[in-house]
Amino acid sequence: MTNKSDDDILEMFRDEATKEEAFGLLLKKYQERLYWQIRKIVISHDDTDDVLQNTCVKIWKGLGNFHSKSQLFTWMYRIATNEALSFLKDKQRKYFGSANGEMEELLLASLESDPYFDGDTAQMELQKAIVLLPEKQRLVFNMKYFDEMKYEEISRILQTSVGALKASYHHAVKKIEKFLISREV
Amino acid sequence: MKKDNPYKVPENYFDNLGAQIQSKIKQEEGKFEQLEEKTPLIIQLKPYMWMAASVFVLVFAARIILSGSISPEYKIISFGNEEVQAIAQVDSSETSSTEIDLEFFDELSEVTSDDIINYLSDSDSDIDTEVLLANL
Repeated sequence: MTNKSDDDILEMFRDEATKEEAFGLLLKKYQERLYWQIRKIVISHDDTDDVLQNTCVKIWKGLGNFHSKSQLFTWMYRIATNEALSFLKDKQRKYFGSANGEMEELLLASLESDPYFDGDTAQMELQKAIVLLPEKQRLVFNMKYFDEMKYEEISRILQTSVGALKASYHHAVKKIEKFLISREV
Repeated sequence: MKKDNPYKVPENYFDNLGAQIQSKIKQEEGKFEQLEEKTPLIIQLKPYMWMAASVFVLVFAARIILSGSISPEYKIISFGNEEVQAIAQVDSSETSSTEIDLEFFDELSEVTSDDIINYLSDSDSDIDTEVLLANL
């Protein structure tokens, strides 16, 4: 059932009679990838659950107008990324009263208090190094290192040139190395 | 350094996720339908209010013009060919200005002051701004 192509699912979605079924298929196909994209940005599982649900509502509302200029998954990934970043900015405003507070503090707190983290000390240190990166470098590092996405694909999602992404990834790796050496991991 | 994903999810989380999301969507759509039912007065009357205001201005302007020195006959012809047609085309390409007037007054007669006060004082509505804006 989930082997239907994106085009088939889109066609089903445009028909009122099969709209819900189509969306169910779409969720089955992509929900886990969207979840992990959001989770790596907002860190906590509970926050991820909220953001994912909002993301899916937006996808449902916008899917009827989606035209295949870009890949369906790239489009959904962008919505998920934007939703996750907006969520973090809102959270930052709530905690600090403005968007200028220390985002890293929030993310470290989420990381350390998340009951759904099951890594060893070294993995925890790596995750700490990642949350301390500037936002763009963090996004690029996660997508490249953990999701093993191609720069071209990341470029379409983040709307950034491949050259700039390579530079971001390079800086991210250097900063992570420096952090881990300083912590003697 | 291990590349494994150290984050976990609650047991069976992904099994139930689809149903949860579909239910959230139904909830959102419910809000949307509720919004449509709840706000017929202002939202439905808005175009007619603009139309009524335009007609009022037009009539007022016509009276000033007709009281001037140019022959009234000429002014009525000029008014009928230009302003009235222009106004009739502003908000509705399907409805004539006479029909709009009648519909407007029919709708307006159903609105009581209480309806308006209740609408304006309904501050505990849980409809979010985004839905409201999207429905304008």
